[in-house]
Amino acid sequence: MTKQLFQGNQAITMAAEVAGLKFFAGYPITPASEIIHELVNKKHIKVLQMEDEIASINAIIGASLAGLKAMTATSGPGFSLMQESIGLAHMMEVPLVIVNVQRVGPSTGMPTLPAQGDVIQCIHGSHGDYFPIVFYPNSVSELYKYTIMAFNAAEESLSPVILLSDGFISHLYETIIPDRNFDIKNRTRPPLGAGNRHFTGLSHEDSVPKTSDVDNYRRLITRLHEKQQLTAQRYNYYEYLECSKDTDTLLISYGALSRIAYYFKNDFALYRPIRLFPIVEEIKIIASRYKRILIMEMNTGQYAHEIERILHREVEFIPILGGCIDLNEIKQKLYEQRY
Amino acid sequence: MIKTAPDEKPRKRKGIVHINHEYCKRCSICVNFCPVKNLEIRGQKLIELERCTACKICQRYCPDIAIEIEEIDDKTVISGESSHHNGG
Amino acid sequence: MNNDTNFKRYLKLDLLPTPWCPGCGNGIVLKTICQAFDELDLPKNGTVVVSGIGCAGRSAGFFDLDSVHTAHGRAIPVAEGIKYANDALNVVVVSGDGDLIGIGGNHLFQAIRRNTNITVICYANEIYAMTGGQVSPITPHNTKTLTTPNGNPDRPADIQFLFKSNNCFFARTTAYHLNHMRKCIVEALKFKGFSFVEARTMCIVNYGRRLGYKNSNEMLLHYKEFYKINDYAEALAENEIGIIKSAPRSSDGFPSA
Repeated sequence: MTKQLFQGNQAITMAAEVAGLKFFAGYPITPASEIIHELVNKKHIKVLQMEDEIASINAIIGASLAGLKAMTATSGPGFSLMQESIGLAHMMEVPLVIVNVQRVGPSTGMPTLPAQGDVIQCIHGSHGDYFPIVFYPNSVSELYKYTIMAFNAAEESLSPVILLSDGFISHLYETIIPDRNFDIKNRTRPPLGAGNRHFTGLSHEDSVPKTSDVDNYRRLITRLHEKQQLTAQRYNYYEYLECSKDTDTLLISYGALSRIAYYFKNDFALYRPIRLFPIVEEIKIIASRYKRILIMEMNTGQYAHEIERILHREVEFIPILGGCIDLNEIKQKLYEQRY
Repeated sequence: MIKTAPDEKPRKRKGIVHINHEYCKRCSICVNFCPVKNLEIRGQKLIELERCTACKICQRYCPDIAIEIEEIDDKTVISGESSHHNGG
Repeated sequence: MNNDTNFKRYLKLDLLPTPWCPGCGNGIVLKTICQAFDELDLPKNGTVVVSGIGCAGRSAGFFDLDSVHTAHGRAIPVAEGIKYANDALNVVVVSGDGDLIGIGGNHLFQAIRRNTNITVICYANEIYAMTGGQVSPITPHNTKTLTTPNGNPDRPADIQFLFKSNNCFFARTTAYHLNHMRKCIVEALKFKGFSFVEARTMCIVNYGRRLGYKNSNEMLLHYKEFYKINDYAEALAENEIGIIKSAPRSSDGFPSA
């Protein structure tokens, strides 16, 4: 198979096709619009441009329940609109893939520029407790691979899986080898129209809503949590580069920003989570080898707090606010500005 | 003793009202609709007074699917307390 | 004529009684929908009911069919997703006026534009009943509710013209006019394209009671006296119920110069 030049968003659509995508509903938004542009030209994929992101995610919930692999793609503002229905999809156990190509926020922000401000929103955006699986690749070829992984994880966990990207890697052109030899997971649950099941956002047991049975609710949430943890274990993706020199510092970064971290590989040990959530447990072992943990991200420390929480120790974080990635700025912050 | 209107003559009974008391919420829609005043709520319970003409208006308007009318032979004449209170 | 109780095959009888208040008209609409299903003999495998949130939204769980109880206002996009994913399914949306016309109003408007082949049955009780009785998009002018203690300052939404604009099906009926309601639902189910039945139904506990009705029977009699049947009219007046006769679409596509 030969190498071909593709844009990040294009790679997502090609991978989605390989993974068995049959239904896409979306709403145009910078910097995710190329995904819908690409998909409308593909045969065997039903594409709907809905009136907003709320309708988009609800349409894919319907299509997924009707038996088709379904996906939507959006950016921050649209992702905010989708939150309520993401909770619904967790409660109803609907497999979906939601691509969020992050841009600078809050609000309209700077639509064309990359950021990593939606990290916490991925896991706490909807009300109530739910435990999504979140992937965040950092190159075009990884976008390709982890789109397929996202579809598989969605089918295995029967839940919406979030594929994070950002305006930088989604618009990046790189050569990739579009491999089609992946193990693809298929739907096991019969589609709608095959029984008398009731899918509801209410707390429920065996298709029967139970609106005030506390024990049942707790059992339900515990089961959903365990299911997500169990599925996530099969997708333990991260990258760890030990430093050639002796160092006491582990530099953690992910997504677009992690591409620049390779520049510092001779000074720091590097760790890059690809499955952002649930947090990969191996970080505990890796972090225990270093005195100092540095987290660099394009927000004011969203993932740093999560890492702090799981490691039970203080970490230093370097906020590179969204918009641009500048080597000199990062150098200065890494070497001079110690917290 | 069943209370009846003073001028009430024994009339031909054409239906038995089967009431599902688990479903019935005693909203009294059927009581108000019944043209022969065959239904009543007594002591938190819907009862029938055995003069059903099987018009089925109560069955049709019951929002809780609690009433079913069984049509019977119109030669049967009412007598005594009904034994047809169906608990469903 | 079918057996009177045949419709029960579309219901999960073991889940009854319904969670609605005594005297609520939702049960009448639920029953009539099942009767319409029965009249058309819709296959149980191949019919899907979708609902939103609210009193009416709870009805989806009582159908002995695959059903989806979605987020508030989002029943129509979910139903559209199902229909576009599997065209062979009969997709029926059951929900309230606040859900469909209020929070989900844009989805309704866009579904009319797309003319998706689904049937929407709106339990139009003119109030947000589940939350205690707040003003809804079709609460009549000057009506007192919890959030309009001095009377509703706004006019109710008259949505029939939206449907006419794209040759979709619209019908208004009431819980009193049972045969008419069944006819409207049957015709809506048969209609190829987007169909909407606005079934006026009574809420006594959180609405009628505050307007001076003693029981829901009085509200039903109000429907009997107020509404006149005017089927296949060009448009329905405020006090008319019936099926709107849609004009044929004048042109499809972009008009050329």
